[in-house]
Amino acid sequence: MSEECERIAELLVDHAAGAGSPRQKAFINKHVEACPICARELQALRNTNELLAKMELEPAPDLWDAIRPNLQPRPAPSRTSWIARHWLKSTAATAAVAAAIAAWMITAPKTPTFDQQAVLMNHAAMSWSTPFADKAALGLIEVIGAEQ
Amino acid sequence: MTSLNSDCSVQNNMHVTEESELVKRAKSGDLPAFESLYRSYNTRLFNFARQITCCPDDAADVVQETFIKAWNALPRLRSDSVFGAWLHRIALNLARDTARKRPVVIDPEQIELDCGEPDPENSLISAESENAVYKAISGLKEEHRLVVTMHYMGGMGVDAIAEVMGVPKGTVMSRLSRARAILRRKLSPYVEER
Repeated sequence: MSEECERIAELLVDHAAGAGSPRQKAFINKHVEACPICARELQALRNTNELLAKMELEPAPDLWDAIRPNLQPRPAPSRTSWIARHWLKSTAATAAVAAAIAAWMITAPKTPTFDQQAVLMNHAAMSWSTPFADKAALGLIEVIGAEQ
Repeated sequence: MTSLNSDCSVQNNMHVTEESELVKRAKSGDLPAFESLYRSYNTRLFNFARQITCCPDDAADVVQETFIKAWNALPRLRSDSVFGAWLHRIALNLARDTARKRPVVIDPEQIELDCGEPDPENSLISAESENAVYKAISGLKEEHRLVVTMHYMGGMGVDAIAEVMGVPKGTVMSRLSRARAILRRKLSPYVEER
């Protein structure tokens, strides 16, 4: 057996099954044409594949009859149930959004409250020169209230 | 490296479309469609299960159980195009469970006694050759036996086998190649031309 035969022997199994690149196939075919040992081996491999492909047994013809009674009928999905399913889905989605908004409203930080007292006192200070103005009176009331 | 089935891609695509349609109908409860799927897969699954269980009777039980399970689980199958691989996975698990419950058979000669002779009336080759091939396959390691069975008796391509076995394509190809080489040696008297 030549060195080339040894190289080809490794590729023959897949070659017999039709596998391999076109270049590899051409290389093997050329070698096999000139080498009766490899040609015999290739034929034996092809015969093996043929033998394997013929190894097929049929199951008992009445096997389906044994299976059929065990298959429970499946109710085809009706249009009503489809609508009901989708109505349920959309209702659940709406409820989830409403719950999220409510949760946000409860937990969200409040806007800082307007410091009414500080503003009035400021007004009172600014209108000190016009003691009879409304805003001065309001400031005065606030100052008195705060002192009490 | 190409698969044996790569030349039949157009035919396979047509087959896949037809099959997807049948799967869709079976999902919605169409029994005749499911029966068509059964007719398309029963022989392949039977041979597949027989190689794992080593017994035609057990294999028939596995096929029966597989189709009942498949019918019940079909509405949950997401992709209609993977039906074949999915069916084989169900059968693989059931056949392995069945094989575990049976006594371990080590000697291939013993397989005949435990499982009975292959049925020559239903076979495409002579009883003697079939017996020899059957013994040769049974003597392989499970990982080789399964790829050989799925490829030759199930007509499955490398992609589908990889899907069922949960291994890369390259692993399937190398297992197939190794199994072919072993079988060629074991079957010398039947495959060598005199």
